[in-house]
Amino acid sequence: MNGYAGSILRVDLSKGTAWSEPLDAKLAEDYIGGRGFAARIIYDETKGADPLGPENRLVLASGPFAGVFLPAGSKATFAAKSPATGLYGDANVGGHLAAELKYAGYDAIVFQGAAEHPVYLHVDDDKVEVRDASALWGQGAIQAEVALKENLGEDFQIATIGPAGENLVKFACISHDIGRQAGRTGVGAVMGSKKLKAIAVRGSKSVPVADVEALKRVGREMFLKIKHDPALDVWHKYGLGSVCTWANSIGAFPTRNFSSGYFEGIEGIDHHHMRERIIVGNKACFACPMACGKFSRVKERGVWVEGPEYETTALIGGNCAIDRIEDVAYANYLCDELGLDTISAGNVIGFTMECFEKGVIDASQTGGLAVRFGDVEAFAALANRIARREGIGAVLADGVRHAAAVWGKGSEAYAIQIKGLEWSGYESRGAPAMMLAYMTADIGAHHNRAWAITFDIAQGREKVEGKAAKVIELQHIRPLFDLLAACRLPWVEMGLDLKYYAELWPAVTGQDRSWEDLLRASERVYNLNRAYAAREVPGFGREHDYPPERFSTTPVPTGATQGHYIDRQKLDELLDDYYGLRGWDARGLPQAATLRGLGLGDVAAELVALGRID
Amino acid sequence: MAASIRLRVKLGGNLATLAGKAQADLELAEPLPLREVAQRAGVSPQLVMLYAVNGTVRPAEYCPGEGDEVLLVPAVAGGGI
Repeated sequence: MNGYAGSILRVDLSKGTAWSEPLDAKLAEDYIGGRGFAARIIYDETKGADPLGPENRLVLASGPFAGVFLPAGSKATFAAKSPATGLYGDANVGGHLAAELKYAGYDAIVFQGAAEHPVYLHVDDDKVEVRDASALWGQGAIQAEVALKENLGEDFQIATIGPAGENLVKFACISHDIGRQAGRTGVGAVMGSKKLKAIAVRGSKSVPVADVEALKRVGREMFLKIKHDPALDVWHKYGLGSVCTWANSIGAFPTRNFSSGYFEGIEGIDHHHMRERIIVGNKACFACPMACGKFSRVKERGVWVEGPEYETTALIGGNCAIDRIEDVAYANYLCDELGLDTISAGNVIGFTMECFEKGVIDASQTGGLAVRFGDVEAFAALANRIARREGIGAVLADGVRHAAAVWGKGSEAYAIQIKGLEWSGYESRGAPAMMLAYMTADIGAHHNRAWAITFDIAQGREKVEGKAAKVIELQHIRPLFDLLAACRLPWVEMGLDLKYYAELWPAVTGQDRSWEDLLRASERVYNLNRAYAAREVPGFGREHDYPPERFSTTPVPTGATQGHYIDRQKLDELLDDYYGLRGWDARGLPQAATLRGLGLGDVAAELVALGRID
Repeated sequence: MAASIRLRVKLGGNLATLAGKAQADLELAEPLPLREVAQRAGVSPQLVMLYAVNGTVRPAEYCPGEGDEVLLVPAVAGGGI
């Protein structure tokens, strides 16, 4: 099957066994790869599963565009039933893992069961072993990766968890390539629940491609287009850190637990300071000419870190009011070693700081720690306690929704999450389309399904009409990159034309499918995940789509969006438009006809049988 | 009377799509900060993430001079407008 390795590796960690299954051609046709494969496997195999129980699955999936030397063609998806949300959850990571997995002969690895003691999976082409990892347990995520590299060799591509994953923190991440993370939805906790410390993969096979000459021609055009773009120099120099100043200027930079979108301390953490004070080099993923990754050194702490990327600076910097780039980078390093998603960690700790300053909690609950905005030492102390579930860390380790439920006193209004997933780096009270994108993201409050702030600016920041259609369009295009296993940044940040990806499809797979048909597969996955939520979460529906109360009742106090909020009536207008365009009912559940029209007749039948839809 | 200032402004990614042109040649009667240069080129400054003048990133308050080439780097180049 051109574009695919042709096999799925199954690993039963309870039994310590592994076997290979041929890739189902129908699965490939309907779901393409990556996140699409993962969504269908999670739907089929985790009904009623405890996210942290052995019955849950952890899926590592690649896709047809990984490893075929197109720009940035190596994006891996980790997926599971999320312990943070109870929904389908995933996170993706660049680096080299997706390509290496295919070179080893697999399009995906599906883990089931749980080992009795710490293990790691060793994949060297067809030689697959579940090996003891007792010596690695307790080590930092990057520390463990370095240890495995030293032991196995540099040509193994490795994914690891840190202490947070081992201790089932619900926003634990999976680390790869010395500082890149599959960050969101607690996939690291699922890996930890299976006592799986690491995955090490080396491959020496090739990937069959339908038309090598066409692939070379289109790939070369893409590389040259990027190479000659005058903006490339900016990306090389600053990477995603350059987004901070802009986001702040338009009132979208999360500040003091999303109380504002404007951070007065931005100059201390902006791209100029980052480049001057800490960056020591650029870092690229597999076959990527953009090299937007920045490797940094914090001399005063004696640590190295990849980053900080925009999201990290937004959530640890602005959201916790930490205004020195060295401090943000140090906190980034700590989270990376501990195996904490920096987005959720910055969100949870920012919430804790606000609760402490408002008197919702006091020093008796923090172990004597004063938890105030701007204090990096408090951040570090909390991060360590969360990763080890010590003291207050045991509450925070289950996420901001849980912490608000425990502490009460009205704090639920400013626990900034949707569906249990902490909000990522864009304050959206002045951006209705972006707000809707967060409200309807299938994994919870994350920006990667649709990013629409510039659409709000271009079309009018107060305007509600027409926003839903754009959000849906983006929710199909952007995730399609995850299905293909290609990074979307050459398109998003460099403006590389989508026509190149449409031309690559027949070159790689030999299949005659239109771009619209590929987008239809992306729409299928989106609806499948919504159906999964309807099946797995009691009473799931419209109420799960509303943002926290702060965003619908409290005006932004400062910055370009001062005075903005989106009241409940407007939120309902957004949702009504969105549901109608998607073919979902007023509760936000896909109608049976919608599912059938997408080739999900079996899913429709199951939801009808369960009485969830008519 | 001061000489006019001629600038070549290049619009990156979606900015070109939005403005309907990839570049604009401007002639200014007086020095203007980059954010106003963007507006003269038909681009909302809120959509510009970074400004580069002759290849060097400059703040929005910077005033380019005669013969300078200004690059407007969008906050998002594909899919967000």
